[in-house]
Amino acid sequence: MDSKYSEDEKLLSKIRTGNESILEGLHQSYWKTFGPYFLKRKDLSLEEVKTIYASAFTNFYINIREKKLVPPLRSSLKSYLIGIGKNCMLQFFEQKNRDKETSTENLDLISKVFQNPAVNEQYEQEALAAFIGKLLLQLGPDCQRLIQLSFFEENADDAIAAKMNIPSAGAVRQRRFKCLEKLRNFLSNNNTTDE
Amino acid sequence: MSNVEKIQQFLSGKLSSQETVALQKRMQEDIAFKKEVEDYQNIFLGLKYLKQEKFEAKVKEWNKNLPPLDAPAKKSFSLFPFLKKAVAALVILGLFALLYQTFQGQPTLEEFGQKNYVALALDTNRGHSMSSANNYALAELNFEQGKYSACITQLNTIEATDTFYLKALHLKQHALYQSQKHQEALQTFSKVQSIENPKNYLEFGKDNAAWTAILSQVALYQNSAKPEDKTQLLQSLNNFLQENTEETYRARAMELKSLLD
Repeated sequence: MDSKYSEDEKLLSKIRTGNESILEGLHQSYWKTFGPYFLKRKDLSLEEVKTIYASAFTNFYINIREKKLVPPLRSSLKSYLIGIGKNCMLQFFEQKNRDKETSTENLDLISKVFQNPAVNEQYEQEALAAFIGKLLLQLGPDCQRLIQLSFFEENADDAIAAKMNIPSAGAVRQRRFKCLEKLRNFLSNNNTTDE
Repeated sequence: MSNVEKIQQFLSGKLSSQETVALQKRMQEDIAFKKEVEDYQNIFLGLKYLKQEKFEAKVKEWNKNLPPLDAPAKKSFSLFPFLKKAVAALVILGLFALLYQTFQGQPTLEEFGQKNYVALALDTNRGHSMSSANNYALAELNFEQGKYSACITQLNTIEATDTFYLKALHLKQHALYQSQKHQEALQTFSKVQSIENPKNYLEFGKDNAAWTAILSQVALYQNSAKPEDKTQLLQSLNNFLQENTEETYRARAMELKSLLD
């Protein structure tokens, strides 16, 4: 029997491919529902809703990509995106509050905001991403490209072999292994320096 | 398979349970290997977050081409059409409820348990040490993939070092419940209750934990059919109803109460 959301379930597998034209099309089409829903709030401007939309759409895609959302669906994809949007909105307000409070010396409020796990998590993610990003720059151009193709673009090893003129998929694995080892050495050296 | 690949598979929950246990054992015995796993965990997480950031930057570019929104039409408010709709909805709902009761009868306790399980909202809490938080992230991953025993093993590691990590205990309670280890799920819930003034911890689904404990008691009573289990269940249910005002759980608890009466 077809589920109530069979169209959305078909769409789910298309989203998972990461095809950019499909994603951009969805981004445009879902905005017509997402925008008015959050603009009903008097405390959010259009630009702020757009910022929230960017975070929500990113999480929406990542969750689908990582198979956190799988059929059978219990709600439409649009409802799912709005649900994520509500969480992003809360984080947005916490962030806004923090920025405002940092300029004053109200330590109680600052500490309350910083005790919120979601805010802490966001800071740790940003810090780790920045740190690993810095380490990546220390790698040679070939390793950087290999990491880019493997982890960011998620190419298969044979596709990477063709793109980088590497003789075989096995050789791609070997090189990636060496690049990750280098990255780990940089990480260890940096940690030692920091201490 | 190289060490890195094995670690990568371990971190993404793709190793078999035997391989996972072997790797965890090696981590306990070999400090250098444990450090290697933690380093790669940071590298893979960092790469994942970088990927997210890159995607978000792209979405922000797309934001520049978003279509303009139509101005929302202002609705004039009139009470009469609203009342008409409300009355019609009530009549229809009443008829449905009557038909449902006539033809369906009451659900069994097993059906009730299956229908009323309230899943835990999974989101990695990083209010703890990096190592606990990373272990928690792994435990969640295992939970999501239905690897409850690997999840419990991971959570036991956290519990040994970070006794105040309430959310880890909460997840453990769910993993035990899903593994049908209802007695142990209840013991874990008791631990949750015994922690007063938890440190470093804010968001904790207290109602969800209490409700999952009740479902564990339902399963225990359903299996044993002992009157004393029923008495305990009713006692917990009454306490739950006294303390809990959240409609999601309250409605479920009332339904269970009528089922037991």
